[in-house]
Amino acid sequence: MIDTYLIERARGGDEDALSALILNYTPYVYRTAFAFLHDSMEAEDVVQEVFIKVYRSLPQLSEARAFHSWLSKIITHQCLDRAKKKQATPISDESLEALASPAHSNYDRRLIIKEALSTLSEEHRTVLVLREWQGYDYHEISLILGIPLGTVKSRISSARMQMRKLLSDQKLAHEEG
Amino acid sequence: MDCRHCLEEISEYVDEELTPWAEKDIQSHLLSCPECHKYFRELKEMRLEIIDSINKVPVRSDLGAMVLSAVKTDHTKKMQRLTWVTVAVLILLGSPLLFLFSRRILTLVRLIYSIGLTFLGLVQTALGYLSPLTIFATVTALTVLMCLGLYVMRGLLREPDSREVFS
Ligand SMILES: [Zn+2]
Repeated sequence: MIDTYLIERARGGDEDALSALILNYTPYVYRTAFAFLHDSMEAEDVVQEVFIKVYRSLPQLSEARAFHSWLSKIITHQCLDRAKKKQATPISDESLEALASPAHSNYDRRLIIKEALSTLSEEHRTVLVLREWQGYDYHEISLILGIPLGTVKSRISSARMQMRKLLSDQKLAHEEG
Repeated sequence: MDCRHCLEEISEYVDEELTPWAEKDIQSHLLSCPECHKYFRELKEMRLEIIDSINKVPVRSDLGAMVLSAVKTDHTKKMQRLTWVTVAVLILLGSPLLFLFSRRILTLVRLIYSIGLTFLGLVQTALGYLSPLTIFATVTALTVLMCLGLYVMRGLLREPDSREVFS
């Protein structure tokens, strides 16, 4: 977590502080965007858009302590907007097979989680990233996505079941292979 | 509580979104049912694994520099716009003040005034000779030019929309 002093200075128009802030937060913003979109080019675009917005509206930020949640909100909106514009691409059988087969010579759990996340439907992935990575509670997620609380509950629950199924298929395939 | 009911609510339990009563119910079931307890542990673990996996997503090393240059380009555009607005405001607000305080400028104004007056006189005599069509064309051209000028001014004065962030 970055010190509020740097944010305060950037907010006051200090360019060096702003550069430091951007360099510091670039990996976090990129990883969040990648988690949502699972496309490196799109994620890179989102990072630039997010920081241009940050730069333009930083003076309106009420207090430095709110920076992180403010930034999270900007990233989330930017990613959801982009995902909405992007045509929904159905998962091909090929990628499902690739996930189920023990293609990885050394069993890299992290890579498997990453692939499982990208195999999830966009709806499921979105709620999981909002909940597990960004830490929003159900009420906040229902506001962000504009869906009822009950839908949030069931969507997160089924996203987890789906994720668990993908992971256990993978594990099984690895143990056999 | 049975297993089916437990699996329905376990996701909410992991997220601490259940009421205290429902929480107690599920806790007592988890103590007595190894199967459901296993699922509970898997969900907790899955959260950590997702966080870990996202934390380790590789980031290209020049991304920070790319972002900085994108923000700087935006900054330059903003500053250019700001400069134009400042110049326009200075001319609009500053000139009457200068005219009020400087005698020399007052003389200049008189000169411009007399030139304008002579020009108007010329136009008046010219009007007698020109055909109505020529006059009409001139007036139309002047109007179009004026609208174009107003449009350009509007473009210059428009600030980048930063409020959309909060929408
Ligand atoms: Zn059970």
